[in-house]
Amino acid sequence: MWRIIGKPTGIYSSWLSDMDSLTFVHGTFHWLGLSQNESVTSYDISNEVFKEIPLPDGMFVVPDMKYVKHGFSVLGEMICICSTHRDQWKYTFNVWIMKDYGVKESWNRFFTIQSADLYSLIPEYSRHTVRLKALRRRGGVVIYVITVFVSRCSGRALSFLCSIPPYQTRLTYYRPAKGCEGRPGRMPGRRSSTVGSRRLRFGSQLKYWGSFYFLADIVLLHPSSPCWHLSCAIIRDFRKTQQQFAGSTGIAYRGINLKMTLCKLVKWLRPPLLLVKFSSDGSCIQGKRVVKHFEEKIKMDVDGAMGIHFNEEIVVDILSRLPVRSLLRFKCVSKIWMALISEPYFTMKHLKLAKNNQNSPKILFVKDMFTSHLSSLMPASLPLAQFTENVQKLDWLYGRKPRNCKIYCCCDGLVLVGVRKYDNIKHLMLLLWNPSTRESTVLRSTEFLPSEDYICGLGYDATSGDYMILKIGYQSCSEILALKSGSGRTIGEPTGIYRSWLSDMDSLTFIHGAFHWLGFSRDEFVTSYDISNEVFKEETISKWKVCGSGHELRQTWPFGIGRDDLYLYYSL
Amino acid sequence: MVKLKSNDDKEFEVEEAAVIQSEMIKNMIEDGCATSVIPLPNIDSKTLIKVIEYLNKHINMGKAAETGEEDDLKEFDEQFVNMGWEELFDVIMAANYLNIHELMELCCQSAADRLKNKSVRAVREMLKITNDLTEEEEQEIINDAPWAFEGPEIDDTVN
Repeated sequence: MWRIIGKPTGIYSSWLSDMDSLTFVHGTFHWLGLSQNESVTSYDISNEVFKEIPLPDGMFVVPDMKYVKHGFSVLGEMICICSTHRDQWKYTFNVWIMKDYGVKESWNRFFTIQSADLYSLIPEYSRHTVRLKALRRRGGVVIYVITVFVSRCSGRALSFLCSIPPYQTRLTYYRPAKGCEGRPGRMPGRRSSTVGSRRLRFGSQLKYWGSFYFLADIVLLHPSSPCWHLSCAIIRDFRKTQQQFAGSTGIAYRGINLKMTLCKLVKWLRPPLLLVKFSSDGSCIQGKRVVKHFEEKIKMDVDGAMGIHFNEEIVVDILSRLPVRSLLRFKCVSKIWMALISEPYFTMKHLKLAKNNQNSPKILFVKDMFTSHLSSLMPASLPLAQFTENVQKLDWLYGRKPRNCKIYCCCDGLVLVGVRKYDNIKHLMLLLWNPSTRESTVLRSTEFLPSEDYICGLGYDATSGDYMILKIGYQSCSEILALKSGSGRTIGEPTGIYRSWLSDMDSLTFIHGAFHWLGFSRDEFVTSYDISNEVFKEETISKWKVCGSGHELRQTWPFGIGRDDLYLYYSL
Repeated sequence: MVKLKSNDDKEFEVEEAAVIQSEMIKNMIEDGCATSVIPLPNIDSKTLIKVIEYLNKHINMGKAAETGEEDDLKEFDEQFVNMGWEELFDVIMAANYLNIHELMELCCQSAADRLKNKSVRAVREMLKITNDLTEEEEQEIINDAPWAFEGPEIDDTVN
């Protein structure tokens, strides 16, 4: 039923006709009105009243500006107004945002673009994004995408200002400044930031405990350059259990595909802190979210008088430098330490640090037939005497002594091992083993016949953030197993299977996100399987450059992995 | 020169070249917010003196390599972190707040080295952490990896 609700105030037809529709937020419809003063006029549907919200002082006082156009919309639940003024040559685009609904003082000039070379800017809004389509005077389109992520902690939007540099600047790459990368931090006072020619800075550290996470970024499409310039932004809502992006910009950066980039960003974000208890068979029996810890810094001290106060971030920083053995021990220190050490984010950080640390490489070796030992490997050449120091003896995998045991390959400190037990000689069990924590899992048995021979490899897929195990059977069948999700499936027929070459290899060689093996069809090939894009590829060996001997090589015959390249040992 | 003010209202003058090792103050200076005194409400004067001592020593980090002062600097760093836990954590907090990467790295590594071989009891005592785990929970953790709790190198002393 339609009904008449009285005469609205501030109706100004040319402004209303510029709007696509009335903007609805906070249970109220809004439009830009003009009565004695310019204001935002609103109609509250629950209380059925018209209201006026004052505009910021000086918003419309723009003398000598000949052409003024307004837009009205909502960004992250805050009402926002854009105005475009055009003087003869100069063109100004402003976006204002009202951080606290209804409070005049909270109007804030969000950003300004000034240019003499543009003749139109068309804003399009979505929940957290303003996309500005700018038409240039001399042809071509520039698109600015401004993604706004708003922290709603304590009902206030944290302030940050950014301005967009003139589009003429050849921008190469914007990235969030240090401190915006999603680690807990403080806001050191009020700081508005300006854009330098290369680098975009926001408040040097943005607060993120609260329900929303925010980063802000700009994506630029430059008309004269074929590539998208990317910086990406992500929002996460801690109230939801699942990680999710409430808004992220769908832009690709050069060759890297979008998913990949997003995954990289995901690593900046930490998952909500979870206290989870595991039962002995590995199933999760109790999960408890302790998000509250994020709302205030974790104070580790108990004895206030002694006053060792430090927050979770610093504890994590210190702990991530410790060896695995100490960490397993320190889980016992307190509940908070246990939670911190058990967090997947912590594991990731620890691994990242260990990879960059020269002293952390470990060597795994088998001594006296089948006893495994783990030793720290000092960098470069290692005298044998040193080698035997600091060796930890490891227990048998899977209980007691196996009939035989083969180490296939390693990836990020995880080892893929095949074990044959005495009671079932025919069956080769595949295990994934972490010698540092001495934990192992038996990998799900697959559809391969137990007697069938196969070769396998272990690699990390950055796209899905999961470890993948690829098994290639000699009878042209193949199967891939994702470790975390536990899903295995066949992936079609690999090409170039040549049994005797495959059986010479210890494992499939993994580099650049793809497994490689030496294949043979019409010609000799290096065949590879890309785990992100799930495709088989072939490359003829004849195209390869011959490099001199003496390169530092690791991994197994016939391939070696140098710093970043794949080498092939090839005897003539 | 840049003036810094600690939370107990003492002012310190530091050379700009030294103080811009702090990412936070560098940003403030670039944005022109550092015209007068910069108040540092989280840092007391004792800690600030320590931090300034470090900043002044590391002022010419790049030049050190050329002039062969690297060892000197290394020695200074070793001496610098030779302090009590409370003091060390105060410096870490300050370094974190001021965003001085090198100092943070130095102090956190020092803290990690001290903790590395300590027993659980020693860590609790050193850092004044009360054990809020029940006996069963604790036993469960030990049972998961008993080898991590035994060994000749584990140090039960508190220092």
